[in-house]
Amino acid sequence: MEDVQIIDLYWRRDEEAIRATDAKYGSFCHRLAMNILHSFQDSEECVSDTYGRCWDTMPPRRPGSLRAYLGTIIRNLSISRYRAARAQKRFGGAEVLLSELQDCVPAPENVQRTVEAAELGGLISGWLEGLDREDRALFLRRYWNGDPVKDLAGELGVRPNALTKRLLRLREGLRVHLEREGVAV
Amino acid sequence: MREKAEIFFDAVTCVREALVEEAQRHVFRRRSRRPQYLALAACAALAVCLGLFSLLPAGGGGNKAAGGSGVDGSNAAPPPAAADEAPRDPLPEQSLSGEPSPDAPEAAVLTALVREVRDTWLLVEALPDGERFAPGELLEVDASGAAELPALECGDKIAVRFTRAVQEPGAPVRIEGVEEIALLAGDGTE
Repeated sequence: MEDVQIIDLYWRRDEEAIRATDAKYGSFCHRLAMNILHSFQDSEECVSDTYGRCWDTMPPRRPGSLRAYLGTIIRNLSISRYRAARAQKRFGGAEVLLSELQDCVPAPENVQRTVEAAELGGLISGWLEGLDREDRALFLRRYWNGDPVKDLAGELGVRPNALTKRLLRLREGLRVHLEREGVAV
Repeated sequence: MREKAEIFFDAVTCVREALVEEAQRHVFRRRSRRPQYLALAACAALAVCLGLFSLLPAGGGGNKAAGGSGVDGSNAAPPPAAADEAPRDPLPEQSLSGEPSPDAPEAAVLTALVREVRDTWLLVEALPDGERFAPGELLEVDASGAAELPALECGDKIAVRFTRAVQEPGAPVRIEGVEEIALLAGDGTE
């Protein structure tokens, strides 16, 4: 089924939309969550939450790329879950209490951080557009999808060490670009 | 330091959707052993050609001296004038006016799904609407001769007008003499 048809199902409030999304992008979503969380159960929950979030946001949203839209949601959910789990592990009860209380008050730091991330995202997009297609895909498959270096090296037919060096050069290029744009790195 | 990395981690999530979609569709150009295989294939082809050449009779060897063939040169028929000489090449040729000669092979059309895109060739999967290739059969398309090559990506449906299909043992069928490659819409129209 084409993405446009799946999005239409969401807009018609047809539950078939979730089944179609799962059939087409289920494995993509699971892989993305697993790359961040390394836990099957957590990934499963993240994927379910992602479908719920899609149901809640379409309409009014009509994403240009359903895959990228799902990926963005699942990344955000997975990163939040990862942070929550890490905080709980490190600081126990106090951190959990603080994170719960954090939801009750306006949090300028979080807002600022979100704005910062969005601005930085725009700068990174600009930098990516200047790369050739392969480097761009490589950077995003590593840092957006979270694909392991070993898997990417296999796809490219190069050794993981060679790929690590190539990624290092790409990160260096990004650092130079951001410094030029006035971002303190 | 860690917080900075996390801000970057969040920032990467905010990268434009079009870039993300493009990255998901991208098929990496694999640094394969293909050039080595090609070199081997070229050597084998050269060896076969040399072998065939040595089997040809003296007259078929082009400028080979008649004395070397074991045939008496004085009895041999005089060579025809160069202008009157009929083409010996069994391959069809085009007339000088640019019109295809009557012997030129008829172009066939293949519809297929693109599986890999390379600089001068494509790996495609034959679709069931043709008779010449089995549905799902993988074919290599030499796109170097195509007049115009549209921007192609994996999963695109294409129509290929070609004149030759070459089958070598252990390798996918190679489509050569490609005249045109057209990108088809999902319903099969251009």
